[in-house]
Amino acid sequence: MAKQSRSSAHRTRTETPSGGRRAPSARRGPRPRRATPPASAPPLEWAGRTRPELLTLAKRAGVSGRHRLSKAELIRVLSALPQPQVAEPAPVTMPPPSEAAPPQRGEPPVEGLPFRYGVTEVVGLPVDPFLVYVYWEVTPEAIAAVRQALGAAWEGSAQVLRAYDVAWIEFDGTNAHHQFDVDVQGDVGNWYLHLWSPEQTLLFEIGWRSRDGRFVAAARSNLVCTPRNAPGEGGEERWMTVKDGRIVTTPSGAVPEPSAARPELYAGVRWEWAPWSATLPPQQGISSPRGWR
Amino acid sequence: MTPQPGYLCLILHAHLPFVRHPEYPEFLEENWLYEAITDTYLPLLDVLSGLETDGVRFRLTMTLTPSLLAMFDDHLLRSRYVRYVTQRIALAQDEECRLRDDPTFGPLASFYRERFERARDAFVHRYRQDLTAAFAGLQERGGLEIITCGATHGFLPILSLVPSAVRTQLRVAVDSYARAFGRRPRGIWLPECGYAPGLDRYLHDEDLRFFVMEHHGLLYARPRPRFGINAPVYCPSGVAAFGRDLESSKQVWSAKEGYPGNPDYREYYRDVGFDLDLDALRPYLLDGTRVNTGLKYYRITGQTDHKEVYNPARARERAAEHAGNFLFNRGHQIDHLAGGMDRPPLIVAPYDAELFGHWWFEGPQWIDVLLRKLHFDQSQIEAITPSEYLERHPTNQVVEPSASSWGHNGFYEVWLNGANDWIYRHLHHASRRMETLAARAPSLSGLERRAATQAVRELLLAQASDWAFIMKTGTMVPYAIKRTTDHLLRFQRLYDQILDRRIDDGALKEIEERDTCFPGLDLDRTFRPPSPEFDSPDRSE
Repeated sequence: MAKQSRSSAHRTRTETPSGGRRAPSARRGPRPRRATPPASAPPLEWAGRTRPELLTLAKRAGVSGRHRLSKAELIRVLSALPQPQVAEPAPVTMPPPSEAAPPQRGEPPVEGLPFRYGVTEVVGLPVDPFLVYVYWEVTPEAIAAVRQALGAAWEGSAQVLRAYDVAWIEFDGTNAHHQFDVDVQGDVGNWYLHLWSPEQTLLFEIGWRSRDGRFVAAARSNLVCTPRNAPGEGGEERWMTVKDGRIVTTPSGAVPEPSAARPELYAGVRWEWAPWSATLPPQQGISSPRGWR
Repeated sequence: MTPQPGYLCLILHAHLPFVRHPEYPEFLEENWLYEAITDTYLPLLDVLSGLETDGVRFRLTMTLTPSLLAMFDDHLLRSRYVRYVTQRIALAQDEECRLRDDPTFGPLASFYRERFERARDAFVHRYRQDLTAAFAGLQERGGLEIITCGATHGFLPILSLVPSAVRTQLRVAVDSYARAFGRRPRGIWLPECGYAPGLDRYLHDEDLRFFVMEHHGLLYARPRPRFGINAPVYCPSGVAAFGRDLESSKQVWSAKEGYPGNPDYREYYRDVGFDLDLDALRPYLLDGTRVNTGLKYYRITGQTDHKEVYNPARARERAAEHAGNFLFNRGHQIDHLAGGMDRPPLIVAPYDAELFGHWWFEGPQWIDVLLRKLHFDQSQIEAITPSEYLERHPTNQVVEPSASSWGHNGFYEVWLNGANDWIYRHLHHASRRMETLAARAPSLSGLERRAATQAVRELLLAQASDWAFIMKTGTMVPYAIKRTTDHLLRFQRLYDQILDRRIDDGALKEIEERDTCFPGLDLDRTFRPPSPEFDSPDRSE
């Protein structure tokens, strides 16, 4: 009885592959420039990237002395790298294939916690403008359903995590701006997905792709919006008055005087973290309230 | 040039995770609270009440997180604090005895003995063990504005996959604040300054009118805010966002440019707990493990291991000098910013409260001098709280701030990385399971209701961002893992028992006595199933 009610509580989370999902309406304005290629194509259009973006990719690829390089030099160095170093996602904590298997690298002990929740799902969480963490679980029933849908093509098919770029569209399963696949393994798993540009709106599906390219999804994710990494556009200014927690005037275009733009407020502004901790030696057993940020 | 007027909003974020282990006679991690009471909370109370006595008008904003308030109110932890500080007094007395003929270190041992005695006296007699009431008094008398935080400091952007988890963090926080201070909080410190677009709507629903965010969350807002971080903005919901100022942060945080690294200040990392012979320390140690005792005889001196003896009087002078320097720099900053703004520029300077006193020993003295100088020595800069600012300037630009946090690199990686990512699938599933239980709340009574209420506590405790943070930073990791899994497992057992209608009364009683936070927790206000008209369209359910 109890088990039944628990599984039924989660059944609604299993999504049909064809179910459309609206992109959020909160984000308005011009679509950001993006260069998300399908994974099968040569992935990177280096020239379309800003130097900070190239620097980020170079950092990920471990290019030393990258800050001294010009944009052209960065492109040359990055182009020379084997693509997986910058473009392919890196598995971080792949789960063991079965409950009996020992935890793998980086997997902390989770003794007693469920390894499977009996729910078919895929969840995406943004980490930073260029990184998304995805975890999933696919139940045996869902795998059986995919297998049935693929029929004979199941043999030789590959499990993939498919990412869709769905900014500003009502996604119907076919109209993504871009999509790309990452080969993954495991009915329970997770993946860090490195992206090529910030401010993406993504959906993920976990499923299987046959040799002839047919894809059947077992689950679709929540919508994942990755953060901006630079000041936003100017755009129309709106001002609002709030008193005692109530909006007393609706947003309007009225701009207070003086109305001169203040570009200098942004001059030289860039995110910089001043790591005080870098100079303080870590000391085992020290009891600190928070660690030193 | 005439100095331009401006505002300074000084914010101290006081937070510790809920650590309470009645199952052990002593517990090392409980020392986090005891050290912070001795080093930070009591000295700050001392400074602020001193300002009141001297008629100094000051304006300071502080977060007291619900988990910290829960520990302030706990009788076991209170009595253990008295035991802790009494032990420290005894250790300092031993040291006085050992160093009685030492003209260099002897006076320092006495300095600490007096300091610990003052702490015990203030805690026991002056505040009658009730630090919440002490801070509440400062707020009632007008100098201090206390804001709230997530109930257990859960990192909201990641929890928000299940919106009811965010709502519960906020509601329990608001309720806890109301119990402690007799009114609703006006604003909130988002745990770790973690923001994602849309979170403002949850704040709005709890009538929280402002929050503080990392500066690039505002600078990257859309559209770009006209006044950058020098005026708050309104999110689309009407909730105000205040941006943290980078320059003033750096002066206090940074190793290179910051004050706390000055050679005259006390060196945190030379403690008699590590310097003294183990046999002399043994009566004061738990299981013979060396710990920080709070008795530290050296000053920072320089970059090398060579350390010279600490001179409290000299350090105090330095703190006063640094307070003057801070004010001088803010004046220049305001002069620079003022042109072209329709109002005085605002500088928001938030810090971890525990920086002051615990890490930067002279920090409370710095605050003391700073607030006095603001009052007596100048008229350019006015100290202000966020609420006061919004009363004075209720018209602000409307923007959509950008996702951000105050962690390393400014986004979510500190709380979501290879060292701690495994916790989130469990936290998300537990939240959904809690929604299932909460949906049955109206029909639950007696034992089942108690069990469901305790399940909320366990889940909230598992959500604390502190555990993910500790797993990432690498010290005390086993404790953080144990706390996360223990609370999740307790939650899971209660969940199973409620669904099976077989509550283990004895086990429930045991964990109720162990995880006592939020005694007034109202099950009916937590983990309510989503309301379709509000919760985001990208929900998975």
